[in-house]
Amino acid sequence: MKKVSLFLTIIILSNVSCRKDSGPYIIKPPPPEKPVLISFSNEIQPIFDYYCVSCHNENHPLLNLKPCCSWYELIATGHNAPYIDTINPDESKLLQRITGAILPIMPPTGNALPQDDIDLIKKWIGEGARNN
Amino acid sequence: MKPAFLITILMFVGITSSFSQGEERSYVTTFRSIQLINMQTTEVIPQRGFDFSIRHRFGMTGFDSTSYKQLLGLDLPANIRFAFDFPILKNLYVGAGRTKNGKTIDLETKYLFLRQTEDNLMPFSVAAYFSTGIMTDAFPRVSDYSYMADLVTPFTYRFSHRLSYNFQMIFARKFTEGLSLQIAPVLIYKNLVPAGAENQTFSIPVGGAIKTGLKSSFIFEYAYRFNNRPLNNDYPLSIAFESGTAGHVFQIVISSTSELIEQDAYTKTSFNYLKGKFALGFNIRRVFWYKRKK
Repeated sequence: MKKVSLFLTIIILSNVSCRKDSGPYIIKPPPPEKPVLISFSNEIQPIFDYYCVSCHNENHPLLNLKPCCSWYELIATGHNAPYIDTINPDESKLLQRITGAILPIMPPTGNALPQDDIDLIKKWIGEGARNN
Repeated sequence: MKPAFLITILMFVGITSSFSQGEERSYVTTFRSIQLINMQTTEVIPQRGFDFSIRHRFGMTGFDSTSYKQLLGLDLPANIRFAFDFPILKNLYVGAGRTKNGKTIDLETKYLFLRQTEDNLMPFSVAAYFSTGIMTDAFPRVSDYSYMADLVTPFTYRFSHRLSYNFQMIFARKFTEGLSLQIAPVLIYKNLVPAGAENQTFSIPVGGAIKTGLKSSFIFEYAYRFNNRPLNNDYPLSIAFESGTAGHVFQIVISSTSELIEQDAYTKTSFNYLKGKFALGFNIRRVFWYKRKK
């Protein structure tokens, strides 16, 4: 009888933990959205067009900021190029001129560039100053 | 559903035990041992002995370069199970085994309800078999994005996920001196199954033995499955040549599965035997006697 009790105990104990689980079900989160890069032609050039091109055009002896050639002038062909330092954006001559870190501040007459536009240019330089 | 099932079992036990109480009859030995190849038979261990078995399956091989490069799978990782079974009552034994795959320890018991008689008053044998498997191997790692079936609860392993159960009713008949057949509906329950699978699996293995000599037989078995069906319908198929004496059985096996316990053999996908994939193996079973026959 002892044997039977032992046997029944084992059987009962072996059944006490029934579960109905399945898995693992893998749900991967959506990939992070690609950061939207600032567009030079759509966001930066219009700033130049509004504030700079009246002087910095094909007649200016040092720097032409018209859409045809602004990026090349800033990077390589301008008189004091490069005007842009992608590693230390704050050291960029372009930025120093529009913030007044190097005088004369640009534009020399009229209103200074709004801070939003300065931040946008700084961010564009930080992103690598792409010609996009 | 559950009470009805329980009542049916109890009624069955009641009816069969009343049969068993009858006068001494001459009974038929349907098979040589308590297991055919992978499936259980209706045989039980005599009360004056205990049973020790070693079952071995080599790696998958086939009619390709693996047959000679891996020497018919002998060089590949193998699966092995050894088990001890002890009779605790007449027609009832319990046992414990250990299988390499999953480092699974299993506890098993079998009770023989009805035994086929020589005079055919009882035309077949019926036994019930139950086993619990405990997987002791480390759980496989899961990614950080793993969830339970509700897709909300983060997936975590529990101890109960290691457990699996196997219940089967075995019906066997020795038709002639040379032919024995059996069918054994199996219900397997696993506490944790792969994503999308059902926890319970219903399978219906059939098997048989054809006597080829005084001490040898050709044995075979095949296990169809009603749910959790394998890929390409690769159900386990095994054939073997069996040689044995009263206390010793040796089998050389060709099987389409290298799994050795029912919880795995009847739930996992087997090798594609139609493409010639199989595993070689052997079963050795020995009954040790510790009491003299009265």
